[in-house]
This record gives sequence, C-alpha cells and structure tokens, in this order.
Amino acid sequence: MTDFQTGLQRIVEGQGVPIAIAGMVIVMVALGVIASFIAIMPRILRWVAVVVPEPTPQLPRPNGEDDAALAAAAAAFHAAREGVA
Amino acid sequence: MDILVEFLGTTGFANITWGNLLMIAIGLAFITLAITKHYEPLLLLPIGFGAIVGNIPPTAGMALGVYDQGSVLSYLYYGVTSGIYPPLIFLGIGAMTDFSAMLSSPRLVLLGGAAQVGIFLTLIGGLYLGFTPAESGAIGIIGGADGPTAIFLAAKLAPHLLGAIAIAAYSYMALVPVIQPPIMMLLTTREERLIRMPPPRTVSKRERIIFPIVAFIIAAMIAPGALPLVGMLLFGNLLKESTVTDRLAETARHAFIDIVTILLGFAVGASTQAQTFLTPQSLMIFGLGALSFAIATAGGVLFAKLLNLFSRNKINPLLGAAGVSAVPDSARVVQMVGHAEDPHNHLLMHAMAPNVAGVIGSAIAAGILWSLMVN
Repeated sequence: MTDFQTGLQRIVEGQGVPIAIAGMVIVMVALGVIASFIAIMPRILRWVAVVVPEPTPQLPRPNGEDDAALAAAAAAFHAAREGVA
Repeated sequence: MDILVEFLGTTGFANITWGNLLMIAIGLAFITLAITKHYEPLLLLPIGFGAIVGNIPPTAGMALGVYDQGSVLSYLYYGVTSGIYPPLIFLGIGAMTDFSAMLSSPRLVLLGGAAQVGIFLTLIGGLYLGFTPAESGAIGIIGGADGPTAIFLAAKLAPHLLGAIAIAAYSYMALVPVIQPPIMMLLTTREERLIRMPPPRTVSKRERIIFPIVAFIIAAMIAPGALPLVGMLLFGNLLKESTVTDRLAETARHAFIDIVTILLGFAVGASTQAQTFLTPQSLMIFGLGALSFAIATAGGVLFAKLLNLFSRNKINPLLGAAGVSAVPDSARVVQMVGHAEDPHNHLLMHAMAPNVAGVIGSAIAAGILWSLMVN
C-alpha cells in the first residue's frame, strides 16, 4: 500500500500538479477559442452573405403522382364544401 | 498411445489456468450484458468474445495469441498498438455527428472542456499510486469517456496497460447510466434541475461546413498531438456536411466504422490474456477509471453552476454531465434525469452540445498528454 508521504513525493517528482493545471488550461483555451469562433461565425457569415448570398435550397419539383394526389385531395375538399360527400 | 497423450498435453484443457477461466467468465459476462441489457453491445460483444479467444491457452511453438509474433491475431492487434484504429473510428463518428446543437449554443462548448478535469486529476491519482507519469496520463484518459481516445493514448504512452485501460474505458462507458445520475442528483438542487433551456437556433449550411475546417485548424495548432483524432473526426464531419460526398460519408458512418469496430473490439478483447491482464495494476486502473468518470461528471456539473453565477441566462447544470464524451449515452442520461424532474423539460438536444464538445475536448487532452509525456 502506498504510504501518504511517498505518494505525495511521487506526485511532486512526476510534476503531477503542473501538468494537470497546464493540461486543463490548454483544453479550456482550445475549446474557448472554438466557442468564440462559433459565436462570431453568424456575424461574419452575414457580411459574407451580402457579397455572396447563400443559395436557397431548391425544393424538388412535384412529379405526376404528387399532382394526381393533390388533384384528388382538392376534389374531395371541394366536394365536402359543396355538401356532396 | 504416446502421440495421443502428447496431443492431450497440448490441448487447452491441459494448460488452462484459473486466471484464464476467470477471464473467460468476464468475457461471457460482457456478452451477456451486451445481449440482455444492451449495454454498448457493438463493443462489449466483440470485446467479450475476444476475451474468450485470448484466454484459450496457446500451444507452445505455435503463434496464436495477440502477443505471438507472426500470428493472425498479432496483425489484427497491430491496428491497436500502432494507433491506427482509433482515428479511423473517429472518421466514422465525425460522419455521423451533427454539431448543430453545439453551433447554436457556443457557451455549452465550455462544459465539454470542464469535464476533462477528470483526466488530469486522475493523472495525479495515478502518480500517487506509483504509476509513471506516462502510465498515469494513459490511465487518466479513461475519464474522457471515449474508448478510441483511451486506446490511442494508451498505445502511445503505456502499451503494456492497453488491455486494462481499454476494458476499463468501455466498461465505464457502458455503465454511464449507473455512475452519473447519483453524482448529478447530489450536486444539483431541484430548482436547478428544473431550469429550461431556450430552443436552439437554426444553423445555416455554411456554418456547418466552415466549422469542421476552422475547428480542426484551431485544435491542431494549439495541441498538435490531437491531430490524428481531431483531424479524422472533423474530416468525417466535413464529408457529411459538404453534402457533395454523400457516398463517402455514408460509407464512413456505416460499413467503414463497423469494420474497424469489429477489429478493434475483438483485438482488444483478445489482448486480455490472464497472464498479462490479471495484475494488481489492472485493479488499480479500474479503481482510478471509476474515480476519473466520477470527477469528470462532477467537473462538468460544477462548471455549469459556476457559469450560472455570472450569466443571466441560466444553464441547467445537468448539461455539464454530458461533457464526458460518452456519445450519446451521457446526453441521454441528462435527458433522463431532467425528465424525471419535469416530464416537459427536454434536454437531449441541448445535452448533445457539451457531449460532442467533450469528444473534441478529450481528443485535445489526449494530444496534450502525448506531447507533454514524450518531451
């Protein structure tokens, strides 16, 4: 079993505390920079969009089957309103 | 007759040890947990079967086990020891990860960093128990709750502990729903658990494309050691978000990651031969791993509470627990604990932000430890 004094000595010799602090600081700095970039990215992209507008996604053109379904739905709706159905 | 007796002497029955039997029982337990409890089945099942394979006693003179030069298993294991498999798995993870939740709430990224405190405090614990600094770093990474990252760093810093570290990492990842809730409940009040998060904003396609490129440059410039892991993660994400490489993204997130997962899980399982695995060191690694997970969870929750001291828009501190990068299990746990308190409070989407930030954070931490330990 590790003696308390020996254990502490090993931590000191292995530079455990400085490594832990440095490591945590670097991780937080890296993620902090990434978070800051994410935060300002929408603003940058708004300026960019003035020069190069973002293309709007093209909706797929309805095919023949969709037209038929739409026509059937419209006919049913119209019939219901007229009191036929 | 002599030939028969000689042959019987070469069988597994004649050479098996109690240690091998114990490891085979552990392998069977993993398989049972995977099938009956659905605990990380994609990993526990290959690891469990690999553990059985690895503990069938080898015959002298035949290259069979992962540690025998020239054996088939040694070639499969080469992908583990050389650190090839983890970045390939990260490619697939990147291709299936949606960073939108994180991009819509940048402050939640910091929670993914805070949870990495488990890694660095466990490093201190490892040193205390007599491990070398390199070994302690490799053990500490278990707290990153990221199997491929743990394997990658262990292969670089302490290859002789790789089996124990990998098994500990994946075991605790499977036990996230058991380990995390008590810590989350202990460190938060009911009022805090009831905090509702604002709905995430819509993220544009341009943001989703630019993010992996810029985040990679930032992470790799600050911690070059993270390059293989973060690079492949964000490359995979770019394949997905660019929408012009759908075939590549589709392959990376399905067939490719599945193949590597099979090879990785099986090879790691087969490396757990009783003679190398059943040591007092392995027990200490399991103890430190549990501690690392607990500290990581507490670190994330407490950091969220700290942010709340300075912020008008309060963060539900449960989200901090998702900073450990067990994706998506820890995010699900956050949802589960929040939901138990208020059935109308849906935290899952918000928890994905620190969760995926934790993946990047643990990869950066691994890169830092690698570069600090080799220099």
